[in-house]
Amino acid sequence: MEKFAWLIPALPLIGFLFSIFFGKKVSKTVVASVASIFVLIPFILTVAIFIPFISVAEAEAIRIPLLEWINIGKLTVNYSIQLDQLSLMMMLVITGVGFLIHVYSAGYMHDDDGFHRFFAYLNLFIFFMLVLVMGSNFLMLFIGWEGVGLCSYLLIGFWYKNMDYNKAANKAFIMNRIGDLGLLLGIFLIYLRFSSFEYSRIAYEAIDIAIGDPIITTITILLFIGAIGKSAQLPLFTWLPDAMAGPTPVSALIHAATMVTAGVYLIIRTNILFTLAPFTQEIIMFVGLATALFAATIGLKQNDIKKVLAYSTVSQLGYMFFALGLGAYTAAYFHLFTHAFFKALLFLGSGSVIHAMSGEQDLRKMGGLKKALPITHATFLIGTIAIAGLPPLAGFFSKDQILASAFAHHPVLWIMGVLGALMTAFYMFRLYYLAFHGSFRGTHEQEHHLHESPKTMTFPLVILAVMSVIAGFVNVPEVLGGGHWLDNFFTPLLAGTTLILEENVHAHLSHTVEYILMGSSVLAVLAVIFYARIRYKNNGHVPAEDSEPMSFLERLLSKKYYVDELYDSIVSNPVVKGAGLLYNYIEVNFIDRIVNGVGQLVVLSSRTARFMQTGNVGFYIFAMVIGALVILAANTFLH
Amino acid sequence: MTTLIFLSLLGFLVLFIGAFDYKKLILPTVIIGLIVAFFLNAMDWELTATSFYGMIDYNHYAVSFTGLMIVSVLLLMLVASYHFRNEGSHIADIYALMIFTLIGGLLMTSFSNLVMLFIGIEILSIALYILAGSRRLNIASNEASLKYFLMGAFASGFLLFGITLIFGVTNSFNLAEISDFVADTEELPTLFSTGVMLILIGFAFKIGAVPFHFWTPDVYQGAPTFITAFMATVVKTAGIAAFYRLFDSCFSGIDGTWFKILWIICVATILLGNITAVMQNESKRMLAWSSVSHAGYLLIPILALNELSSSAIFYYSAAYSIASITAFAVLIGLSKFQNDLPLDQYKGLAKNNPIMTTALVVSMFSLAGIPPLAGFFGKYFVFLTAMQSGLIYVVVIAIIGSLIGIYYYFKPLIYAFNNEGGSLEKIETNFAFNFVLMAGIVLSLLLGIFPDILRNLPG
Repeated sequence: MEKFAWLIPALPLIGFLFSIFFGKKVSKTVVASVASIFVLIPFILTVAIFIPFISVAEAEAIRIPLLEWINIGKLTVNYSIQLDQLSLMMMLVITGVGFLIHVYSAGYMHDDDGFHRFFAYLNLFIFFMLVLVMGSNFLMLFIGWEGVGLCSYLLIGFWYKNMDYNKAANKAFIMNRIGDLGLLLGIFLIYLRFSSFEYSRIAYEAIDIAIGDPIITTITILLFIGAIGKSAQLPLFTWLPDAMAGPTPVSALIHAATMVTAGVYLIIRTNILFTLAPFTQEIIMFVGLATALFAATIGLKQNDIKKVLAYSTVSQLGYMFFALGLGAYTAAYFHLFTHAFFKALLFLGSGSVIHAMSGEQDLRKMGGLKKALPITHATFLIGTIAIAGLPPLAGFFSKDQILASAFAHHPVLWIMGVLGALMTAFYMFRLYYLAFHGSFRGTHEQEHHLHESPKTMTFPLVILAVMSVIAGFVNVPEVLGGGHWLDNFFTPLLAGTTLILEENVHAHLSHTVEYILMGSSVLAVLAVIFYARIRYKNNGHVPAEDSEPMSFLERLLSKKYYVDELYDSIVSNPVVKGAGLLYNYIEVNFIDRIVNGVGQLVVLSSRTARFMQTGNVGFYIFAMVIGALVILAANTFLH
Repeated sequence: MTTLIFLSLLGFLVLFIGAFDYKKLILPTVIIGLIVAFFLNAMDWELTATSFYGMIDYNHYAVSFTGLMIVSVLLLMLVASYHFRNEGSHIADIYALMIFTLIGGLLMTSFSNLVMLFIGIEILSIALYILAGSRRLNIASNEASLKYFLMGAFASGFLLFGITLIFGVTNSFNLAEISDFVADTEELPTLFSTGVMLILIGFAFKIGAVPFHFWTPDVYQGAPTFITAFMATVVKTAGIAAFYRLFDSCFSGIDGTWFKILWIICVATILLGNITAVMQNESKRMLAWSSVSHAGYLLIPILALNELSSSAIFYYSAAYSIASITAFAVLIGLSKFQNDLPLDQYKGLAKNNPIMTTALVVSMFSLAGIPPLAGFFGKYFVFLTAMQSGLIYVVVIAIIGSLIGIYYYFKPLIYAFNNEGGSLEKIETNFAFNFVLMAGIVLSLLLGIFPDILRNLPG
């Protein structure tokens, strides 16, 4: 089956070409079907490769060279595929969730003029995302990395007639560039240190390096900067909430389930380097935790349904980085895996709500949607419970594993982690009760219009809801009678790390402690949910209008800590002003004159040279003879 | 050697078809014939023996270049079929002459004997003199033909004189024997190096290098456009391939006088070609000067003369030929048989002619050397070769030349996207013409993304 692996990224690319060139000429049904099938087939192929792969214990990575790309001197780079535990798991999520979101989009985007363009971009995104995770070297990763960035840009600004959306797209792109610079420098440094871009080669050589090696530390910090940009961590997170300008399926696919997790993928992929750099790991841990808490507090006061989910995504990504910083790579991936399902579900559910509300996104205008949207409501509730971390849904297991690692590291970290989880539970249930319970607060026209979404949209919701329930069972901890399958499955991936640390990286806690930790966090979450229920359902509390006076803290949260304003005043404005200064003085007075001078010189010599071309054969032959004579004379005298 | 025989027969067959006036058969015969020739040529890949009493050595280098020339001619034939769609009194003659030119080119890439080289050059040139004048009733075409003939005959004189001197010193036409002679002789007589110089002058003329380039702009402008494309691609490729083959196998060991002279020729060609192209207002003349500058770039690997040279020359020739054929095809699509094709003819092309515009953009970008197109990697490999031999100044000058080049390569594009004063109507094209444009676009991109599929062929 592996020999067809190249088809997995190739098919979405073909789908892209089809939609972009012929999409206008065929019907919308054809465009949507082709685009969806070209993601479904890769999913089936991935499953077909995955099943034999898991039946072998500690299976070795399969590397398939496709084509030589660069071969200059000592540098050889191939287009080659690496199929291992990590890439296969990522491919399952990308193609599986990707397919569902394609199906959903067929319903969601049905009346949009840019229908074929939308599917073209989605397919292109799937292609680049697959390249990112399937490549066996850093350059393939970089191609994918930049490619998904491009698709993200195109899709955020999909409704390009709205200037604000274009600004959001630019913001996402520019902020990502800052991270990309770090990634690129990291890759250069890796090449300097290892003389190779291949993961296998780097892992092989890294085993002999001492812990704390300064070059490795620098490399990991640079790679982490790349991850910060792509995965929206502090301080480069502000682009992600703005990225909600794109159509909702995009938010679900790119800005929740797949692209933003590329940073997590990058770090798990190079886990051996990060294990060699404890200093970087500390930084990652604190950045992750800070992001998780910071974004969660902002989430408490947002009134736009998608903004709440966006800050929640930032916060959950923070959890993943927190786990990475703790060295709990499997836990980080586990959370990535479960999060992909329930966050995609929540975004698609919110899309269904927005669809029903004729484009309204403000929670204060909703309420009582439970009756009108039964399927959306049921699936959304499952997603909410999953993200809040109640057993036995997916979010419980993954979050619990991260919290257990935190406790093993230091109990204070555990308390901070639980605090974040409580805030998550609160803002998610606040959202849930505001949207689905109470009385309808929108206009009559909207109320008249309320309807459950078509089957193409509810079908993915149901599948994702099922996954949100069961995805956690891939890694049930021993204490709950599970076999932590994912931990075992990832063992070969973390072999280098295990070897370096000379111990198993999983947390060692006694069963009693684990029971206490689990029990207390679940009880606390239940209490918070109960509070949210009383406040927003029973008391019917509705957040105040923006114009009403707010306390300092409330304003601080609803204005997102003024981070955007802060960046404007300390980064954007000085840069713009500085650039203006450089332009008006240096550019106009010096550089322009030099450049124009050179240009005028060329034009002048060109005019002169033209006169030699007289069209007279006699002159030409004369010139040739002179030339020949000079050459022969030089030959005689130089000899 | 079946390719050589097959192509000769094909040439005669086309002449006969023309003589008996089966007009509909001509183009299919030529195209099928060339495709067959391409595969016959590819089948000779493993053939290592020399043939014709050791006068031809059909090695990988020869097979690669022959393959490239056949593909170029094939594309040009398709363009020609569009060019001559409404005319066709003597089209069979033109096709047959192009095939004979190809035979000359084939000999020029596979010779292992100086006589074979000379015969190849003459077969190529004589057919070309006629082709340049193939629009019999057009005065400019006639003038181009006559000018080219006069100066070509003059240059052939230099070449033949050089070969004679070499023979006089070494008593052999055989490349291997000359090479042995060079290796065994302590002090080579001046007569020998004079011979080398004269041959060098002959080649410099054939590829249009400074100061023997004067014919290029006039002949390129006067000749029918698709013959100009033919001269700029196939003929130039053959010339440079022969140049490298001779100097690599015989004269690499002798002391550096020819190197110093070639250095000056190379640098002067790059600079003069690029600088003069800047002020041209006529498309064919601009492309002519651009082709002069590309000849300069192609001379760099001959200067460097190391193990990377042959692949750099081959890749560069391929990238340059494809981009040039595409650019000339667009020009042919625009022109309606007139000789003067001012640059503002491109004005407003973009709006109604997407394929032609894409082809124009890709070809100009590739000629200017912008990644990820083939032209960029061509320049890159050439520079890499030069750096390997320590030719830093040549690379610096060549890069300055490329910078100047961007100025004039972008001119047609600026016109094409300028819709002030109305845009061009949709230009009527046929399948063959569109096929060439698409092939040009795809190949330029493909070679840029996967440079290694061609790069290591000549080995």
